Amino acid sequence: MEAAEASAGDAKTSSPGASGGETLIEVENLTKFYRDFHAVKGASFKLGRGEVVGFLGPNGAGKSTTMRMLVGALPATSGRARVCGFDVHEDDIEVKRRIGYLPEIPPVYFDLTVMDQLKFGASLKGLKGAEARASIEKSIDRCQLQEHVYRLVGQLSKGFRQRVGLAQALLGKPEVLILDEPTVGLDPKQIQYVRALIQELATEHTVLLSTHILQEVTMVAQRVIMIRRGEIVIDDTLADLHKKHDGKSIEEIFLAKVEE
Amino acid sequence: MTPFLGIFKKELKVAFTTPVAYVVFFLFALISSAIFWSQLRDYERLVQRSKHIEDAEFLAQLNFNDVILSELFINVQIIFIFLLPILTMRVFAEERKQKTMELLMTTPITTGTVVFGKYAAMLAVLVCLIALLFVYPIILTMFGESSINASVVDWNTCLLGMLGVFLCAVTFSAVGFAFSSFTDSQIVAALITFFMLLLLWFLGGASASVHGVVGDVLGFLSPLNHIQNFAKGVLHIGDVVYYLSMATLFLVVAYRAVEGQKWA
Repeated sequence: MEAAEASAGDAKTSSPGASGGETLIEVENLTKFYRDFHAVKGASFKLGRGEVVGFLGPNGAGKSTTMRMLVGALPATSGRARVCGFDVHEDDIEVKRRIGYLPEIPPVYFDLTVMDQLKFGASLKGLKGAEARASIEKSIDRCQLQEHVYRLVGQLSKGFRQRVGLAQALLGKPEVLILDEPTVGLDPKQIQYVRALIQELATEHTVLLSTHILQEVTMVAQRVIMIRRGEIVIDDTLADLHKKHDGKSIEEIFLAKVEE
Repeated sequence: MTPFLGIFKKELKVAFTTPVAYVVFFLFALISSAIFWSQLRDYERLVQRSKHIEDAEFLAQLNFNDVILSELFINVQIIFIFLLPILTMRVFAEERKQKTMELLMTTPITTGTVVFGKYAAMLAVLVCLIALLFVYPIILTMFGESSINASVVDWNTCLLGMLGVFLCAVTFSAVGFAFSSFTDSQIVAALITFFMLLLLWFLGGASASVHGVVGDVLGFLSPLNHIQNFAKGVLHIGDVVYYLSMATLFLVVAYRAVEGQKWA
């Protein structure tokens, strides 16, 4: 509706978040109804460049729904979302060029090898020739898939499939990474590895990561957005949260909010 | 690699890694050879009979194209009614079931690229499948004898028949694409496609008993009535228009369904 305003210039407005700088993700009053069920009730938040934000909430709170609306996989009932200044509804192709998205279930084909899967992912992002090869190589290195390149995705364990999905999301060096529960189903060692990887990624990407594991947020994110029954109830940096709740741990704050 | 080429290649890789395509190829070879063999027996019987009753005129008219190949091409259409739904069932249904549709929906590609990339790959598979049919005229050329022509097989007629078979596959697979886009169950997609094709085919039979314009329209809608000309070696522009417009119609339905899921 407001396509005319959805120009790249808008990205220069400042962020309320921790790091300041330009705003990459801007969500305004985003609402989603599934028939009668009000899944997301007017969510609004902003993410600045280089931020790593943990998106917290109990199961079924609307985390995935919000993220899917943000990447253009699901239309919002009302409200709007912008990524890098482009409206998700009006300029979805431009938005999709700039995001790497890892859904809850990694979108990988069981009948392809890891290499073929990543080649396919690279082609969908429009990467060609040497650029595609370099990007695939880097992704494989980062997600430590070197030894599994020629195995079929279907033969890999869930943890490895998750890593293939993550490697795929990283292709083409997207400005924004949106990761939906990236550590679910991984073993403790892999979880540790993925968390370290996300911290590393934060130097190049803006990351919005959802989780229901509380420690994860304190480990990788500087800022927390908490959603409960479709409503955003907390949007603050970790440091400020501690101050406001006189030194309580994130678990305590979170549980108090859930039970409210 | 462009996204179109990427989808095309991925579809072919998946098609030939899973056993489904091989099973379909095997069944197609098996059934078509059974038809070929039975037509060959018919031909032999006709030759014997016309020799017996000394019908020299009929004997002179007998040829491989009319008795064997054109019958084969017409029957291939019936094999397609059973086999093509199996080839097309996974095309969108599996993407939805395995949630890989999410990847296609969140990368910078258009719905058209997805649908036509997949369709181009399907046509490539079908060309391979139909190429198997060349075995039969080659066998006839190698082992057959003809009293009238220098060449025992009229290749022009034969190639036109093949074109008809290909156009038929183009249409049937478009029907399969449409129904695969409606559901996340491959079985449901295959069954509905099968019944749709069967229904279209029956229209041909029904049209014979209905008089007037309605009968003509029903007859025109049935693929049965359009393969006949091709099989006989007659290129009728109406038949080409029929196949291509049916294919377009069902592809548009598939396109709308996939596009609709994006904004559903």
